[in-house]
Amino acid sequence: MRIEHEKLDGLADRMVEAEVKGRSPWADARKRFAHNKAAMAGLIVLILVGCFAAFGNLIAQYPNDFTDFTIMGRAAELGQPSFANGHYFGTDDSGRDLFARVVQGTQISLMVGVVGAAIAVIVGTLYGATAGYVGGRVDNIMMRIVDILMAIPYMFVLILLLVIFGRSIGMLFVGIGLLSWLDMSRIVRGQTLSLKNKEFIEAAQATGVSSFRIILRHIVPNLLGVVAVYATLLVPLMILTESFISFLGLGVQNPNTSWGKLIAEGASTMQYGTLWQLAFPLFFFVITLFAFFFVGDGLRDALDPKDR
Amino acid sequence: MNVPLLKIEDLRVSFAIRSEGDMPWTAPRSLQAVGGVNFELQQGETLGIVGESGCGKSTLARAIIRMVPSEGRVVWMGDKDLLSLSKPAMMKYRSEIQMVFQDPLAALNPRMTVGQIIAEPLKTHHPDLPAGEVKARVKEMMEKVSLLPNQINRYPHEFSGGQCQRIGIARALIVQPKLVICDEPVSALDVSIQAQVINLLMKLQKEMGLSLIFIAHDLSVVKHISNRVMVLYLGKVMEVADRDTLYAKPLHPYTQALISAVPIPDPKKERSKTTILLEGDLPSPMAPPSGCVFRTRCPKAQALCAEVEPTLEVKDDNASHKIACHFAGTFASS
Repeated sequence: MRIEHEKLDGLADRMVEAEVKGRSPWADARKRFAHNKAAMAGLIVLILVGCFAAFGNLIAQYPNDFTDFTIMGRAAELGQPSFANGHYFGTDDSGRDLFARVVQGTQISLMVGVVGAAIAVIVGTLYGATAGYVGGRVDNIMMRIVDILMAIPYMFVLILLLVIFGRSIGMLFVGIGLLSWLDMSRIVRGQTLSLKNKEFIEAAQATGVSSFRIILRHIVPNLLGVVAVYATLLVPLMILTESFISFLGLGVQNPNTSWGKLIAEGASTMQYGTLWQLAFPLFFFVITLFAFFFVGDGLRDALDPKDR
Repeated sequence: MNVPLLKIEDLRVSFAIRSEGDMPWTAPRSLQAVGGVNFELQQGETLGIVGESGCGKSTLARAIIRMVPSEGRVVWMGDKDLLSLSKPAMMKYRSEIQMVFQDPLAALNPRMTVGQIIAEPLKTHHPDLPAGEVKARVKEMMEKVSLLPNQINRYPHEFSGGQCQRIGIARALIVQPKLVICDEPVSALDVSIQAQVINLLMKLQKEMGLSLIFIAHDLSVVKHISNRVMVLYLGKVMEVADRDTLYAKPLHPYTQALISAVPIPDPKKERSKTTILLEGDLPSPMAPPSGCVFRTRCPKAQALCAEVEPTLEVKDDNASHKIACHFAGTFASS
């Protein structure tokens, strides 16, 4: 009898206990993500690269457009990486400090990647979720528009845009933003179609929740897993696209720079013994892409444990 | 007799079906999921709807709350035809009719906490309630359905199936509806949990004066909770009667077969009872049989059954017992 009383008291205590905090699916995913070593390493690398972009200018000894005339034209002999003269990563052929230029290239490349992915996430998710949820003719029209836009060779359009409207970062953002959301909207539409017939959506409809709120409160939060994974994989794609455009010489303009442009410059002078001009930007480029891919994989494993 | 809460008149639901190779201009074929159902539901009453899979039970329920397009009349409290209301006008009735779903976990959004899930109908219908009041009501409701109110911040995946169904019930009842449509609320649960959920529903029904439409394919569950039972077959009502009448003296051969198939929890009796086995499957609703829809599987079918469709009418001295069979009552129930 005594034990029973204790049990009852315990139960009573539990009943009056303060509100229990729930373990959300996001918290579960965070935990799984934290256990994934490759993904965590990727995340740390990304944070470091981000810090490099944000605070690198505080360390740089020269502004990125400062030309050191004593080195200009003699980069192979005088422009090596050295702590003594403050050119940590050496200089480029015109005697500009490569460290400052890599910092700036990192800023631009990351910004292109993140802005491109952000446009894809916002536009693509809302567009795809609306098409999938409304269905029927609206869905048909919306998705045929996507098909038509996809059928246009985008690199060609992007190059044309840059040639016609002048080469600027703004135009690059517009061009990349126009293209990036197409795939996202298809993926999101597919997911929405499978969510749409779930009973919790039906329950919300039955009680009279408006379509707009259903999309925002029931569909989108359940899509975010897929969207997050795809977005992290989209960032490196955007960076690659921008690098390719800049490599062709159509992207950002001097004195601004980006990874693609730095790599292009480094590649063009590699036979003159200035390999550091290629190595430093390439190193940042490669580790960032790897890190994004590892983080994307980790997110996928963390967010749908069933798919592993 | 007082005004029925809900009066369904000749409710029909048909779906347009396009098959794979159809050209865009070929007219779609129509599938009649519910074909002319009539019934009344009194305040505080429980109507059980039984029938095998695919007979239109769920579609009928969804038609009442206008989740699928339908024809006919759904008269609410004797004056409003719900099917003719505009969308905003229907909103008011959406809080009076709530639904409880079959799969308890699938009916709850996995990304929302229990508190948010239960509060959703309340926030939809009373958007200006202060947050504290909403929370207090949610907690009160959780207590009513025997959930610990301090678990308000937990997520659905942290609950068992029976608890999830209680959450579903709490969500349905928070707006104090007059009618709750339960679409197979217990078929996904263990038998022991089924009893708890059913008893909870019955307790709440008594407390709140609810009417229930209880859809199930388990006849013993329906027997426990219902006042009246309606048997559906291929979208048509075969028989409707008071619970005791229907179980004691089923007159339609389909009902007789269904009731004879209910297992008895006593092996001796179970072995000695005779089960009427129906041959074949439910016919395709795209090409329903002529005359009586049940005739293709009916052990008692005659030539007349293929020609004339029987109407739902009173066949014996009990005025509330209606049967759609030409020969009802001419053969003894087994």
